[in-house]
Amino acid sequence: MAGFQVRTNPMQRYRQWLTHKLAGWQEQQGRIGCTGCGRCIAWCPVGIDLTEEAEAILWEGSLDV
Amino acid sequence: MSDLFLPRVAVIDQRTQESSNIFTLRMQFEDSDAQETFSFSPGQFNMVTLFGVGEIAISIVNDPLDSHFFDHTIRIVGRVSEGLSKLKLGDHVGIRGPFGRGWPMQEAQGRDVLLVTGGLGCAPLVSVIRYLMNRRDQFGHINILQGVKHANDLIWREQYEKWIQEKDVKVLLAADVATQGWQGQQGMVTELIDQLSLRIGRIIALLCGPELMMMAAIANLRSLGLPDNQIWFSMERNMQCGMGQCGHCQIGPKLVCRDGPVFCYSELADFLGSKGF
Ligand SMILES: Cc1cc2nc3c(=O)[nH]c(=O)nc-3n(C[C@H](O)[C@H](O)[C@H](O)COP(=O)(O)OP(=O)(O)OC[C@H]3O[C@@H](n4cnc5c(N)ncnc54)[C@H](O)[C@@H]3O)c2cc1C
Ligand code: SF4
Ligand code: FES
Repeated sequence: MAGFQVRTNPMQRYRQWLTHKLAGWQEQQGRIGCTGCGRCIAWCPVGIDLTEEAEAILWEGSLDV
Repeated sequence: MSDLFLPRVAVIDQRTQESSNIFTLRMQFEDSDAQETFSFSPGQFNMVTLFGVGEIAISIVNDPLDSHFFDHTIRIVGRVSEGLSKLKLGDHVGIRGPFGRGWPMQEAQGRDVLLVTGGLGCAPLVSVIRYLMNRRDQFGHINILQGVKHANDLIWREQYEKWIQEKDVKVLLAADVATQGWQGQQGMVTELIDQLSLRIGRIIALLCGPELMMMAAIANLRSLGLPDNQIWFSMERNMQCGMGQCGHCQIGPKLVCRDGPVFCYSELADFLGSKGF
């Protein structure tokens, strides 16, 4: 794309996964991008819990990456 | 399933070599009904398929009045664009589109129009320039600032020379690397803004090019007092579906293919240049 990569490091991609599902999707598609099935929490190989991370973002109130 | 998922066959009618690595393909849909009903606005794009290779987003460079054909000006950068460059007259491509929201031609009515383009980004603005020139009486002064990396990258020279002849039209050119005989200046396109005596209260600015260049131009225009809602620009992102389905092209809450590619600065101010978005 236009000769550059948009999200160059894992932190930016991780931020994208979270905020896209929970925030961006709402404006893009008119609803939240997570159905709440919990599969990602059950199977995440490094133990990431989406709900905990969302809470952390809420309390820290910062998306600086 | 919507028709827009399905490429329609278009036939190459004409091929123009614009520079060593830029070429224009003029085409029309094989199906004459498809051609007759094809309508677009300046700034919109098509997804162009090279069969068996891939599909890429390419702007439509025509005035919407051109109803019998449409043109794509393409720079060779990779697999698909290079393959397209080898097509011959009579060959087929697939076309989905037109997609996206184009330039705010309604808002621009009656205003002075400032066009700033840089780097490789001229294609999405060419359609606007043609639109303005064909409806000259509907707009005020027109200032075109065109920056290129290398003097040899400037294409559409004859057209610029024609446009310059029009009343109240100014064209300033800048090249990072000038060559002998270059009639423009050497340097950044954003520096040209300071050389114009702009009627700030009457201007709408349309920008296109690398994001860093657009951000520099926006900063410059805002410092001159141009309000955010009169600054518009065209974004580029990796596109797959072109129609708001896949998410590849997103920047923050916006889908560039559907909500853009043309945005008003006030819509994207928080995200333009924000790392990782
Ligand atoms: C809305 C929109 C409108 C566009 N309009 C036009 C247009 O009118 N004309 C045009 O030529 N292009 C246009 N583009 C860019 C075009 O889509 C890409 O150049 C194309 O996807 C490249 O595909 P490829 O298979 O040829 O290259 P790939 O094989 O995908 O890429 C090969 C290499 O080139 C780099 N690259 C990819 N794109 C570019 C680029 N634009 N500039 C520099 N390097 C790049 C890649 O990073 C990669 O390293 C537009 C893009 C968008 C989103
Ligand atoms: S909970 Fe289910 S729907 Fe939500 S992100 Fe995880 S896997 Fe996806
Ligand atoms: S390209 Fe698929 S959503 Fe924009």
